[in-house]
Amino acid sequence: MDKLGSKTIIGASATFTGKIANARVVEVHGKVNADLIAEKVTIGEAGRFDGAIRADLVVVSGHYEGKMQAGSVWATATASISGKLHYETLQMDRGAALNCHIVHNWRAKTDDPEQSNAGNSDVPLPDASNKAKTGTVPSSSKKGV
Amino acid sequence: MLAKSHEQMTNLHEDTTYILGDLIMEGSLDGGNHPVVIDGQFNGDITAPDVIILEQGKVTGAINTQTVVINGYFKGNLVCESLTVTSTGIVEGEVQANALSIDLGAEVIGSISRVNVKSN
Repeated sequence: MDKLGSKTIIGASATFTGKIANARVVEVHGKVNADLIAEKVTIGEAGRFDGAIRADLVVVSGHYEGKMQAGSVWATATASISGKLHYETLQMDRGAALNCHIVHNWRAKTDDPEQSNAGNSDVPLPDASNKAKTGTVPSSSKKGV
Repeated sequence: MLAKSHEQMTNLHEDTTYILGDLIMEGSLDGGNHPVVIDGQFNGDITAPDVIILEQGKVTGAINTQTVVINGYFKGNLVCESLTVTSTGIVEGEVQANALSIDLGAEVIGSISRVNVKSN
C-alpha cells in the first residue's frame, strides 16, 4: 500500500461530481466537475476538469474550464484551457489552446496596495472624462449663446 | 478476489479510479467500465463494475456495483452481485447482494437481503 502513496486517480471512463478536500496528488483521466485544492494536479489527454483548482503545479494535457490558481502551469500540446488562469510560471507547448483570462500572479504583489490603487484609478477615469465632457458642453453652448 | 485486488492495487492503471491518502471526496462517482479503489474517505454515491474499499478506506453513502470487497468501512445502502467483507471490514446499513462472503472478524450491522442483480 505504501507504493500507492496518496495519489488519487480518476480513471479514463470515470465521472465525478462533487467536492474534493485534503488532496495532494490528483490525476484526472476521466471527467471531473469539482473544486479542488491540491499540491499537484495532472489532467490527462482524455481528461476533462470543470471547476476551480488551486495547486502548486498543474499539468494540463486535456480540457480544463474554470478558475485556476497555480504556482506552475504546464500546458502540453494537447491542452485546452478556458476560464481564468492565475499563474507564477507558465509553460506552453506548441499546439496548446489557451482561451482564457491570464493573470501573472506574483503572490507578493497581490498583497500590495498598488494593485487596488490601480484598480481604483481605473474607475474614476471615465467619470472624470464624462464630467469634463458635460462641463465643456454647457460652456460651449454658453459661448454659442 | 483478494489476489486480483492486490494486483490492481500495486499496478496503478489509468482506467481505474483510485481515491487514496488523506483526502475527502464528496459527491457522486461513476467508474464507467472500470473499477474503483478507495483508501481515502468518500461520502456519496458510487457506481462501478468493481468497488474495493481498502483498510483505510471509509465510504458513506450508496454503492451500486457488481462486486465489492470491503476491507475498510462502509455505511449506507449497498446493492451488488457479490459482496466480500474481509476480517478488517465493517459494514453498516442495508445490503442487497446475491452472493455473500463474510470473513471471521468482520463486522456487519444492519439488514441483508438476497437479490439477483442483473449484470449491466
